[in-house]
Amino acid sequence: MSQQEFLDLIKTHQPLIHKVCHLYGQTPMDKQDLFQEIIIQTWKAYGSFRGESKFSTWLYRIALNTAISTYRKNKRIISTTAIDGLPVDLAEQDYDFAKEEKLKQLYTAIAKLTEVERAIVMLYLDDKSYEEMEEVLGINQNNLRVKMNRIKDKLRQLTKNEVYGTG
Amino acid sequence: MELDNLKEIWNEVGSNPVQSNNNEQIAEMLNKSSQSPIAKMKRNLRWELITVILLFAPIAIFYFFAFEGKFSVIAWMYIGLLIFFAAYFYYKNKLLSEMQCAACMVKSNLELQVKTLEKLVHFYLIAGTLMVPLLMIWLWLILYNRLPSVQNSFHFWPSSEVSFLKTGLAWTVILLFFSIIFYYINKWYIHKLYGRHIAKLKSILNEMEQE
Repeated sequence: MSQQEFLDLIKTHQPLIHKVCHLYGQTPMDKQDLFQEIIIQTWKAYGSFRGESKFSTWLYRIALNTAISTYRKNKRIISTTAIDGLPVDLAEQDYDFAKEEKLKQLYTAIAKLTEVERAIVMLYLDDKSYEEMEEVLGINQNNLRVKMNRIKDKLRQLTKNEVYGTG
Repeated sequence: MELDNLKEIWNEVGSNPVQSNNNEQIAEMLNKSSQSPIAKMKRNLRWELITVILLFAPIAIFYFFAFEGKFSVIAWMYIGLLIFFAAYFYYKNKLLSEMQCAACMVKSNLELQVKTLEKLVHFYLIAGTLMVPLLMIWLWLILYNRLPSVQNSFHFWPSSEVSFLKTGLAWTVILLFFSIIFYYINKWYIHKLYGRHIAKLKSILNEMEQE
């Protein structure tokens, strides 16, 4: 497997890595460091990729493993505003106010979830089936369903006073 | 608004690049060193090994050739110490290499990390505590060989005045005293180094297992 093949695969699946970085990194610098670390870890493991699972499933595992356990920062300060959690260049883009506001609120709420809950929400928002979630996280599907319902309730509670809350 | 309704916005905006990354920039990243704690520990371990070799090997060589080889026993003792450190580094490196399975399911990777970290901590505690009596005995042997005058001193060797039992007992008490003290110092230090990290990993695992 060549480096070029790897770069092509990463190019196709980069959005997945960026999502993980936005969810687990606190500052722009954090997110860039995490992005680089995920790329390095993926490259190191690439030789062992046998195609037994989809590349995206495999990449989710590496990205989440790196974000949750390998690259965990000691000082985890959960921000009370959405600013730290927002994609860096959001302001530069031409989104309507309502969309931006919704996403801000979503990031604010997600930032208050635990590392595991964040991973579940990300996979859920990425439209992954519970079977795929189990393949990535190693949590059984029934448990994932219970957790997802709890997370939805939690997010409703966290955003119930917001205009675009999930409640 | 339900979470499901946010999927579209999430896919649209959530994947905004954290920085602009073209193929060349990503190719550059592949040559950089990992900054993960495990990678850092491995790099530190390599430096520790180089330092130990640079410190002890010249001394061993010196005693092999100086004084017409009269003190070659000391050279062998330094070589023994080097072998001890080599075994220590080998085992620690092995544990660090086993600690991570980046492509495994998140839960299995966490279980692996906790298990290996606990093994490493246990190894540190045993090696760190054992090192104290071993180094003291080693130092004792060096002094005994380098300073023949002390061979007649009852502090170092049983003599006609002091029985083997008394000297042995005194040394056992000294060794035990320092070993116990260092056991607790090591325990405190290891907990300071890894305690919080292990506790955090365990709490994530617990959360994953809980229904």
